[in-house]
Amino acid sequence: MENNRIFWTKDLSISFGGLVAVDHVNIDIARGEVLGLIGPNGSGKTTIFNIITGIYTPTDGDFFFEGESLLGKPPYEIARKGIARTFQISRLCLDLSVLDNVFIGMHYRQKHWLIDAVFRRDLLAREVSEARDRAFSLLSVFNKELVGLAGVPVGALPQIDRRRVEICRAMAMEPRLLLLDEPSAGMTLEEMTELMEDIRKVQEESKEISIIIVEHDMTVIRSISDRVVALNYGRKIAEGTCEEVSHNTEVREAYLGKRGIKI
Amino acid sequence: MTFLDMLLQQSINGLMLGIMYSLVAVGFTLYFGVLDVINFAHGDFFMLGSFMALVLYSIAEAAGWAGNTFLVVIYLFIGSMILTGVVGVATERLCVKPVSKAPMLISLLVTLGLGIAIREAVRILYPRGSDPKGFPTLLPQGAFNLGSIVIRYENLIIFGLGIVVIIVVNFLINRTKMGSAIRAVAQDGEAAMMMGVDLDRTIDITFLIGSAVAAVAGIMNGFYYGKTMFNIGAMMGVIGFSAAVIGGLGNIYGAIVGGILFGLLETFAAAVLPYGAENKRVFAFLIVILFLVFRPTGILGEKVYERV
Amino acid sequence: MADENQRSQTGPLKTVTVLGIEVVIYALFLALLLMPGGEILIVEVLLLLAALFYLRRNPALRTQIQELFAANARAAWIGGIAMMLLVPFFVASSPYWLFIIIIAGLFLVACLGLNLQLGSTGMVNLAPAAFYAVGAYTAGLLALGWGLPAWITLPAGAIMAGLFSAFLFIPVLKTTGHYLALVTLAFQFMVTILLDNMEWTGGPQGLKNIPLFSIAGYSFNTDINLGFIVLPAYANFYYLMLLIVAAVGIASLRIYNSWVGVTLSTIRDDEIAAQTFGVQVNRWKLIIFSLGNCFIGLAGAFYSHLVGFISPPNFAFDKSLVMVSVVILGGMDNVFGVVLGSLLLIILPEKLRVVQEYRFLIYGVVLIVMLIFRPRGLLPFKPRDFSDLVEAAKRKRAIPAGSEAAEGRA
Repeated sequence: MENNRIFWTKDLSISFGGLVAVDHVNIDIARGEVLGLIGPNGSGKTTIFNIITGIYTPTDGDFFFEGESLLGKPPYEIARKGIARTFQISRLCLDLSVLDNVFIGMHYRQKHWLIDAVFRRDLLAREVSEARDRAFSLLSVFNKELVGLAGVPVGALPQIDRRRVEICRAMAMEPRLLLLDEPSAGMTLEEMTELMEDIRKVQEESKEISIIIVEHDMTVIRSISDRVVALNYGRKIAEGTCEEVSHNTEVREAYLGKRGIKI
Repeated sequence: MTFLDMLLQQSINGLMLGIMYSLVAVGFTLYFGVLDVINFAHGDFFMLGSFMALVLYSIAEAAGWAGNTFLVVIYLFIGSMILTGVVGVATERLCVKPVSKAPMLISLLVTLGLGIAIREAVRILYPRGSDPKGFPTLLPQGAFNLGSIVIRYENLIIFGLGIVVIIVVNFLINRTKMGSAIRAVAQDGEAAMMMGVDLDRTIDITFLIGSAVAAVAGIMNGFYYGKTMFNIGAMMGVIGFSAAVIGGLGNIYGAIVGGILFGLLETFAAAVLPYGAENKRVFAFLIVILFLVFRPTGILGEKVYERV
Repeated sequence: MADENQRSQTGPLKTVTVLGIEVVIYALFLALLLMPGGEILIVEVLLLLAALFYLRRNPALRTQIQELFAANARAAWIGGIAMMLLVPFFVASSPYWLFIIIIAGLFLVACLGLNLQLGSTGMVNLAPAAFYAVGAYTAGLLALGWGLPAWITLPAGAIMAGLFSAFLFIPVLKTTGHYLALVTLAFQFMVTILLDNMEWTGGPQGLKNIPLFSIAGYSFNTDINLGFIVLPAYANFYYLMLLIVAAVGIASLRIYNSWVGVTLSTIRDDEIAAQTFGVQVNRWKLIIFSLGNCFIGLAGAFYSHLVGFISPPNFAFDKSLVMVSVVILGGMDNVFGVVLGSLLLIILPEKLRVVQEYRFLIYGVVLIVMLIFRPRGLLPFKPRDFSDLVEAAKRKRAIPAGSEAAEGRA
């Protein structure tokens, strides 16, 4: 386990104007593992993602990917190391086509630059057609119909397809660590099950990929994750298998017990 | 004249200019609060106010009751405030509110277009509107000395009037039911609406206040320089917006502080810097840009964290 | 299915239809310029509105026309280019209109630069006229002071405008939205005030007697006598303008239709998402801001050699406003929209000289009405379609290696 771990944090902390949002959190994830990150609203799950992807700089602690500290690195550099994410509220570019959105994930691998865009259309043509083939094969993993909709603006798609495109966009980066932020948000139970199927397919496609999935819905977590970390008020309160965590008294309290905690 | 005297003299001039800028800046801040819109036409309401006063004055002259200077001045201010305020509300309904939910560039361009339309309407409708228009000398002239500093009565009155208007606006916003509605809408329009605030009416009142206050500034400016012109609004709009931003957009006290700061910057640049007189605004705008870069939330603004 | 459609859209008859549509539009355009009086303007505006309304009611017809043009793209381009080249012949009798068209072309070049910033990347720039001024004054000063020829002053103007962008680099990175609008607005006013007050730029009098273009001894200020027709001297400028428009236009189209275009769109729509997908947002912003200003500066330098006399009012805020409205009214991030926008917004106001007094009032009102009812512009942003590139790549794969030269066009 120690040697196999691909990503870990060390006493990761952040506070906003005196309010501690993440408090000395240590999590780690092995290659090919699916880690569930649970906790009530405001327990710091999304904030951890924002730290990992470099949007926020932690006030204390450090985090490592493949043995290298990513502390203080700008988001684009962290992305290029192989960490991709989706957002809780979809951040697709709604005016752009499905294909363009997936292309964004491949953007940084292209050799192509501004000068080439103007003067070397042959290079561009080659890159675009290769990228398009790859995008199509990615899209068809999720939903064969999405390939036919590749030219349609994302804004015209239903919620579940947008979520799929978003995951495709992240997968297009060929990440080794994928962060999914509440992929089931705003979905019906049926759509959720479908999406879980899709995510499992993603894992089968590339065995190596590690996934951290943020959820507060335990059914989703139970169906997909190997291991679960529970957070409350920015602190880690439990860790273990799904069964273990869901029987933990502190977790139960956080979710159901004390009044005043929003679920 | 010692250096200290010069500083004092300039501070007084700067304060006077600054109070005028503050009155324009207040409008920017109010509109941004209730509609999240920067109304680039706001400077033209400043100009419109001065022209309304000219029209009202010529009516008074024609009717032959321009004799009592004190009453005429009050009549000019009140009349122009009402007229400009009404135009302000009308334009808000016609073109500002419809684009308040649109992307920022659209509202920006619409309000810029509105500015052109107002400017041109004034130029066309007012007799020989393309020329500078002289302003009647109604305020007492002359000056008194305070040590070696010269204070003109006119300036003192303008300054005092500015302070009064600011106090009144402050009272309206912070102490009345209407004001609390405006503040509620500025905080969160939808929540305010659910709590029974009439959103449309509140926005109307905000524009009425904003335009009326800009009109006051416009008349003050007319008295100060002794003239007005149809195209002074564009520059005043940029200054007012700058002042609102330096102070902290959305904060009324910020707008006042920002306006005075801009006025002081201008006068000091004119007095101290080489080639300062003609380039005073270049210097002031430079400071504005620096402010935006290093403290975009302004002097009185609070730091906000973007939610991701 | 799509292939079938395409096949039915080609053939000599279809080509003639495409050219016919183009000729009709062209004729209407020339009539607008050449017919005296304002009646033609009213007639054409009504025609345009009727056509737009009809097409809106019949989306099928609209897609049919689009497909027709897509299938006959080559014929459409050749026809269009030929018509462009023939413009000076038709308006030979009124050099004034040729001049206005050249101005429209210059605005087009500048607005394509602005479109890169505003439309493609979402960076607000309310100071295009300031960079236009930098280009114009650079060219003017170099030509007057050192007697440098136009083929040096043109690129020099462009490069200088690009370098001047550096003054706003930090604000461009640190501010967005309203705040960036204010920064650029302040910059615009700073430049106009400085131009008015600085002695070495000629102060309020500006620069006079800037030499007009002359390349290799050929002065652009000479009429072109072709025997059967004498083209006014402006024809020289017109063709040079056309060349520059073509270069900048193609560059813009290609940038739009590439990875760079996708990247810029992402930055425009969501900077944070762009960053988490590996886009170096700050670097791209600076590059595009400078490149856009280069285009604007190029147009300014050309202007300087076209009119020979520049002064601060030529570069005041209202010019910036016109450029910004061209981009937004025409259609953000749509090259053809910018073309349409600059033709309409430069040529129509000239036509409105009949109602000189009310010109700007009409301008302001039209701006407001258009934006309230058509906020996405006349030709809105369209999702990219890379299929022609993919086709090109496929064809290339089919051709054995070594015959690369044949594919030079792409």
